[in-house]
Amino acid sequence: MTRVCIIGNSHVASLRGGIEKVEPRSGISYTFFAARGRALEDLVLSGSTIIPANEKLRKYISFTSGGKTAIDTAKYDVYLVYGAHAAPYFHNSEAVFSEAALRSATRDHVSGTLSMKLIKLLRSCTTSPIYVGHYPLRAAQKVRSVEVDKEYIDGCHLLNELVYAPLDAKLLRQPKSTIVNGRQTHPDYTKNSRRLAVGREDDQEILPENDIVHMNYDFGEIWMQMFLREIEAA
Amino acid sequence: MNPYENLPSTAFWKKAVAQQNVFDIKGLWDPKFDVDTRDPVATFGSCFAQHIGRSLNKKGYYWLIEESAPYGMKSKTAIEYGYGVFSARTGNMYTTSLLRQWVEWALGHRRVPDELWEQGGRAFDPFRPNIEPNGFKDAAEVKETQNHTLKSFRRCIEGSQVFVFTLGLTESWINRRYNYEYPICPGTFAGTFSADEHQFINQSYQVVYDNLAEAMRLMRCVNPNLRFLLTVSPVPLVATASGKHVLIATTYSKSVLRSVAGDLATRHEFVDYFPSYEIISSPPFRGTFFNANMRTVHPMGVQFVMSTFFSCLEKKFGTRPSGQASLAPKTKPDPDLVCEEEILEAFGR
Repeated sequence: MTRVCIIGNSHVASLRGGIEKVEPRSGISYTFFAARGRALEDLVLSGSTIIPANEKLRKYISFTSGGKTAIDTAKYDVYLVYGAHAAPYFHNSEAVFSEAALRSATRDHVSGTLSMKLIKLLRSCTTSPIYVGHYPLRAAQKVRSVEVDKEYIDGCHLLNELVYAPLDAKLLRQPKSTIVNGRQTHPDYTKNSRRLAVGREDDQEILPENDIVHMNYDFGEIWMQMFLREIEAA
Repeated sequence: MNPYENLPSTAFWKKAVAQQNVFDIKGLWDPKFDVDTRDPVATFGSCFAQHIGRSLNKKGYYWLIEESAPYGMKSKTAIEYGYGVFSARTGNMYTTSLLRQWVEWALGHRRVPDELWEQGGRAFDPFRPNIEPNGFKDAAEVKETQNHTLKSFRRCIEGSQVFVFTLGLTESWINRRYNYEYPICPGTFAGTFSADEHQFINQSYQVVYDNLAEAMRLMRCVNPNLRFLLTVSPVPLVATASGKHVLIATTYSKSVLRSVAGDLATRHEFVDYFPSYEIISSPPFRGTFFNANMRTVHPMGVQFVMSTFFSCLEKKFGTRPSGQASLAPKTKPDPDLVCEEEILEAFGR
């Protein structure tokens, strides 16, 4: 059994809903620890367990995980840190920069993000694989092309080389089939996107039409399929 | 009837200066040509020039930046790496001879020397010793980024409509054998000083003039409509190798530079002089705009200089719409200046 632990903020909602649409894989289980905004900032280390530092967060992760109130890293084989302010990166590989400048730029790009805090927290108490998903590319208003910008591909590659590989983690690109206009998400994937359910009254509320950053369960389904292929191949 | 009878009040010290509150002294600059917010403006020169580019950017002028920081780099880091300091990552050009040298390199009239400085296992560009906080990983990286900057500088020459240059120093350090100039004395920031190899030259008026005139001529060969806005840095020397007292050496330097700038502006309709030097350092302003060290300029002084700049332009040419935002990093109002010359202070006992 491969026990997958998915940690992240409101963007996890699309994965949570998406996995329900994916044909179940035998031998893979999922546990979600999620909370909206920066609430997961209050996760702290206690031995090899990651625990919430306040009651509100404890309730959120208990709700999303189906009753667990801590992340016992001994119980998971693979981690995915999704969203959590991890931004996509774009790199013009034709431009000339020193190695030091690129290291500083990529470090700046991830520093202070919740995602990086979670990755380091995990890495301090587990050697299991950690995958990273950046928050979705913004949804386009109109589809002009289905091209994917080379700068996005090269950007992800550079982040992996300079930031994630040293932490023995891997950033996964957003699935190609969801990308339009070089670096945007197809507008269909933002339709009827829903609020992350954390045990509040507005759980799963459909997000406003002008929310172009949270994606729906169809997007989550594609993303999770890609993720599953990745961990099965590893 | 004599020529003084019909002169405006600004021609008379008593009316224009002595009887004025210092902040009410008006008419210091009558711009020769307009700088529109849509005109690409390149800025280079000594440390003080950094204020001009940032102020232009903040005010909505089109500050031309031909070398942008890598994606994701924060503003503070970008400044440390020489991005968004000048229009290309040339580092400081303190002298007119350094400007001419860069122009000749960029336009292919001369080849960049292969000299390299090494320190602490890192490689330093002798012509941009402070362009990266810890130097480059090796000689190849120095050369690659140097070539990139030369191309960027060339694009600045070709693509700008106004080239702002702030003259900073007359004191210079030359490679004796091959006659090229360093922006800072070898051995101070990096590299090794050798009295056999390195020569100090305190440039005369004629040398400063000829180098600037030639640099401008070469630039206008590739961009015939290029106009120049000259300023003189009001910042005194950190240190002098002239053998004179630093106050005396500073006065000499600034006098030469101010004369050159003024003479070239008088001679050519495509050259103008903006009096930031007078605003900061002339007696009527009583040193108001200097920090306690009587050397660096207080942010209030920079603000006063630049507001004078913009108000003089608007008074003559009218208000204008906001221009194109430049690619310069957004900085806080008073970021630290990037200045190799500052390192000389460490050698004072």
